[in-house]
Amino acid sequence: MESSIQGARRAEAAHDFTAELPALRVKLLRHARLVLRDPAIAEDLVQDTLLAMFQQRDHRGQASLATWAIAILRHKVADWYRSPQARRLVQQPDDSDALADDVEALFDERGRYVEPVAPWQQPENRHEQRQMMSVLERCLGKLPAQTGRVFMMREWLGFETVEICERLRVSAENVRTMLHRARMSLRECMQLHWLGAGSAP
Amino acid sequence: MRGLLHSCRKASELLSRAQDEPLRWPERVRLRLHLALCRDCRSVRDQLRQLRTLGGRLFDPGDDPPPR
Repeated sequence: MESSIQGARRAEAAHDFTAELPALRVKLLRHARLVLRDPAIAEDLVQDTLLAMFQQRDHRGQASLATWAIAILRHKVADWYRSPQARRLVQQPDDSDALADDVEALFDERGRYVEPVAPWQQPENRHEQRQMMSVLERCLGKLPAQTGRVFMMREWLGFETVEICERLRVSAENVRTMLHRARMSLRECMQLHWLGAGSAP
Repeated sequence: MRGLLHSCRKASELLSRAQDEPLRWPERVRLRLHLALCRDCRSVRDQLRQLRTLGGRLFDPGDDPPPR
């Protein structure tokens, strides 16, 4: 009799993550804002995510809470970008010009790198990986909003460029330019702020 | 000789584009040649690859201990 009560309690504890919800919500909001660049939409989608987690709590399986939450959020964000209501909000002008000068400044008059480019070390452990991730998140936050969106749609949501063109109503050439500028800016930012970037030999 | 090879600036555009779509054959050949001769661009290529890997894994805390 006692062991079945203990068993039931353990099962309940496994499903009951309400104690962790406030901290989780804060994390999810931060991530959602970075991806969506719109605090109101971010709030809505995080609410939807938490609700879905509660509704599906029996189907969580072995995933850690945070990993599971992020996977659900990712689906919600992808669905939202594909929804009719997103259209008006996401079809905004290309703002990557703000990055153009800095990207251009990497090269000399013959198109060669002004500074030698040092390879990055692979992070050696979980701690270094998280550090690298966290620097990347900060660097992502520095991208202009629409450019950041394009990068996240491509790299985090995995949208093909054709779909990005459709959803955002931009040309393929435009998307290419935005991604190029985003990537070059991000690597430059990582170079500056991540210790594993090191210096050229 | 300079006309045959890409500049690093051009190579960076191609490296970025190659992450999204297949390059045309002549572009791919010239990029390969440039990379063979340019250590800076090889570093950039590797960095762009790392950005891609990280970008896909954003926000994922990774190997957290399994739920109790």
